[in-house]
Amino acid sequence: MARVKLSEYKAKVLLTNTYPGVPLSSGSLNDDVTRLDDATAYVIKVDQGMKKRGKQGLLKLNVAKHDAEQAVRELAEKGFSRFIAEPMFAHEDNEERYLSIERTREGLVFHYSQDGGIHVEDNPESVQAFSQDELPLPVSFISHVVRVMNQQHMSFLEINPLIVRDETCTLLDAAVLVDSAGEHEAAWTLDDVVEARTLTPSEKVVATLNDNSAAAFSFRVLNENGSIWLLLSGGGASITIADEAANEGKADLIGNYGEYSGGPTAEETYLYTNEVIRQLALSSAPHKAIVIAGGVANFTDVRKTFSGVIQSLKEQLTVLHEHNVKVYVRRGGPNETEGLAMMKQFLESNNLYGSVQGSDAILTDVIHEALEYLNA
Amino acid sequence: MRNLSEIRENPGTILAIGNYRPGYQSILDFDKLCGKASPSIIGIVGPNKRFEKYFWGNNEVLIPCYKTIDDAKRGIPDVDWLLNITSGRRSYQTTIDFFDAYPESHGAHLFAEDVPETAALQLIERYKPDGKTIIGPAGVGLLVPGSLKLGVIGGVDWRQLQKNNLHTPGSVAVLSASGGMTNEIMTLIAASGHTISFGICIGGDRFPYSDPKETFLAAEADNATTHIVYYGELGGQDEYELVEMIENGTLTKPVIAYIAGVIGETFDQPMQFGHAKALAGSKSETASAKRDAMQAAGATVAASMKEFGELIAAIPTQAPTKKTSEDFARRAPSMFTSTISSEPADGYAFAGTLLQDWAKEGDIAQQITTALLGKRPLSTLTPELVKQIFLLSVDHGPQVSGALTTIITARAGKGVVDSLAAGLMTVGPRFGGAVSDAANEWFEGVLQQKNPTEHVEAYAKAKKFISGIGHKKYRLDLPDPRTQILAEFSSQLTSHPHFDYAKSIEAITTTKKGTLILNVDGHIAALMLDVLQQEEKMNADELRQLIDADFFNALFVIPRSLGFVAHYLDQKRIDEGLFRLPDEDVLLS
Repeated sequence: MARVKLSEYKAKVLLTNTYPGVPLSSGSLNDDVTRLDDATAYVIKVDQGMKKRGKQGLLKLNVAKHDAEQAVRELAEKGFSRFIAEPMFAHEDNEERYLSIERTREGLVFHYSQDGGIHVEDNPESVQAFSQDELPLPVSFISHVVRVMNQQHMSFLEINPLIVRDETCTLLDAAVLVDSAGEHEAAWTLDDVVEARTLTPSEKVVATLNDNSAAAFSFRVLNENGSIWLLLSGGGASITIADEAANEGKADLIGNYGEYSGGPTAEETYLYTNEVIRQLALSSAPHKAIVIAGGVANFTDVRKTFSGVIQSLKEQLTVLHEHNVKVYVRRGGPNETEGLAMMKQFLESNNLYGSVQGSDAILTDVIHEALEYLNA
Repeated sequence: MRNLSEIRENPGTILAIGNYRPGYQSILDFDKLCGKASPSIIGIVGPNKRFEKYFWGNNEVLIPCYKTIDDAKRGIPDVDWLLNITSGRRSYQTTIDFFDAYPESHGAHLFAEDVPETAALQLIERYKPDGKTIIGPAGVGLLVPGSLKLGVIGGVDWRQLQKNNLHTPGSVAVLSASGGMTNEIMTLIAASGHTISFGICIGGDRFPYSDPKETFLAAEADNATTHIVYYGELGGQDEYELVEMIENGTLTKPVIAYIAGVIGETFDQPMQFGHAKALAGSKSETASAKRDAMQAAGATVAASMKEFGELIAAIPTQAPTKKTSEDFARRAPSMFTSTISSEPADGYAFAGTLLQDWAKEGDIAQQITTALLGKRPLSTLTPELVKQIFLLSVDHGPQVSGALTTIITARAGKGVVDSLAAGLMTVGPRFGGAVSDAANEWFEGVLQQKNPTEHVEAYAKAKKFISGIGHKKYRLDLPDPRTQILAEFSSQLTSHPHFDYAKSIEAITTTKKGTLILNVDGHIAALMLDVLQQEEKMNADELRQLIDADFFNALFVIPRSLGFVAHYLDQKRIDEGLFRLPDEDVLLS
């Protein structure tokens, strides 16, 4: 899997012993605000991995408990659902420090700046690499953070601003990337992972499918009104096929980026194809092409995975015909001949046939054929 | 990384861990296509079986299976490679276990895609200094044509392997961040009449053990390789190391590359693609930046897949490829398996020895013991004990159920098979079938270090008999002359825990009743367990398997069959006619 963003709330709970922040969710707001303190002034922030929240108006300062609900509703209108409330922390701008730690092949790499805060990117020369021992920060704090990073499978951490008063370090903002493969050994779960954008219903379904399968699925909408809908397989071949549209200067026609890999079952490719078609049906493009393509698989069975795809196409024939869909196929691997013959027969007899090619064809030719159909 | 010429000279053997039949089968197919004499996979850890059947060409072979790596170590003292097909959660620990058990091995391939970064880094820290070769985590492994296929690389269908000529050593090295693209490139290479020198799927993880730099150095050092074909992706800085290697002259062989991911540059936000590393966090990590840098350094970088194919086709063609006429299409799985018999060209073999050689050897005890164990005994004590057991078990008079039934059947005019079978049908829980049960008592007692008193009390409470204890006639003060001989046999063993345990049970039961002695069955079971454990080096699992298979009762059934046949022939000689019970012997109530 990959490095994913942890919510600021969870990151701070893991990194600090006593974190006074309160998580707020637009779904359970009434209950959540009761946990706030009457006498405290809060800062309320969108907690979905967004950067530069101050500039984008994604935080509210000096909010009292009785105004909290209103403040959250205003932020939620911008399409967000996760927030945190933290007690305001009075400090001077010149107290703000910057610290980042990244896991690399050579070990943890530390960057630090005396001039932290929102303007740190304006003077990048102030951010310098340090060894762990040289960092001008309390030793107990750094060793604690490093221990948490290793235990919690954190791959990247950025604290900015960081306020240091004697031995006490306060994390005003913390962005943490965790290694999703470490979930089973960590105190966070995939529920603590945030996306900097709102998922479409289809994207949500595929994300759930991915979490519950031994195989891998991804689906991301790039252009709601796109005319090329991708159903790709294999991590590398999928990028390469999508690249071809960019090579031709037609990346804007691509509706989605999506792939399956790791030998999914027919049931899983059926569910996956349903979502691609559901999203496709929302596009206003007059003609559409579905590109079902992948490299020469090492072990993913072409016949098995295609039988799920065909099942879904079959059930949604009306939708596909309404949207003037043609299907373009290129795939190789185990049971290639049988899988392709089955697909060809289905597409031809249901007026969906664009082309069907096997491992002898150049991987990316399907994109050209689809573009030709779309007259692009 | 292990030198490729060393791999070609000595490809080595593979221990596989995990359940993945098609992948393992493809490795045997590769071996067969390469003309190897035997499969490179010599054991599988994981399947809950003793053996798995695989095709070797159109025939079948058995690959031994083990529950754990420790079990495998007992059956396979040395192995060169680990093929690790376990999940991301288990890959790290199983790899450590493998190298602990086989410190002299060459290396491993880890297939799982979700091995944590911290685990991948620990593998690097732990095994790089030892010079171990590890391919992965993630990806499809390593393939050296003619020599080694370690992973699903090249495909799992033998037709794919054959079509792409992966059995033929060539001169183009394939290095790829993607498993699917490794195969795609191998297909392109074969389609243009070329063959590969070796292929490595580096994998798309953040910290592959063998990184691009290391694999390029391996290609540079490999005399067979003339050209390097590379597939890379957006994300990470590895390609800049390659640039540096080209610029400082450590990489001199021509490189043809495709760096995927320009599509990522058309989006507003950086996007995570399928592989963990495939995300461009900064400008220098984009596909375009890496393409430009490699091109500037002197690598040939394709702008599209079409161009990539053309560049590969333009590599000067080497010697013609070796065609195989192998056809595995006639495969059919067998209905059942036999390992005890074989039919070599020079006759029929039983338990590994030709029948004519058994005759020349002339040792019936040796043959019987070999038949029972499925292999030659390690110790001369084992056939000696078998001989004693057989000599003592042949008969116990005409009154016992089995002999009597044989006699009655013989007198009813039936032949030898019916009479013997009728006698054998009586063998069971009350007659003659107690040796296996006794073996179970002594085995569990020793294994669980049971307290003999508690053992006896538990049976007393349940009002049950302990198998192997008790006799109708003999008692403590009237010892059974047969058991005396067996008991003496124990003096030939350095230690005899099962016999000791059985005697400690007897010491308690005889205080309750003088006839509750350790009987013949109990002696046979205890002594055979001790001999198998000490002389035949069997572990607890193997002994347990023999108990479950009713092996110990066979020690009674075989000699007693001779006894039944003797009664049958005896009756035929006497020929008293049909037997009918006299009226006074039946109570009609």
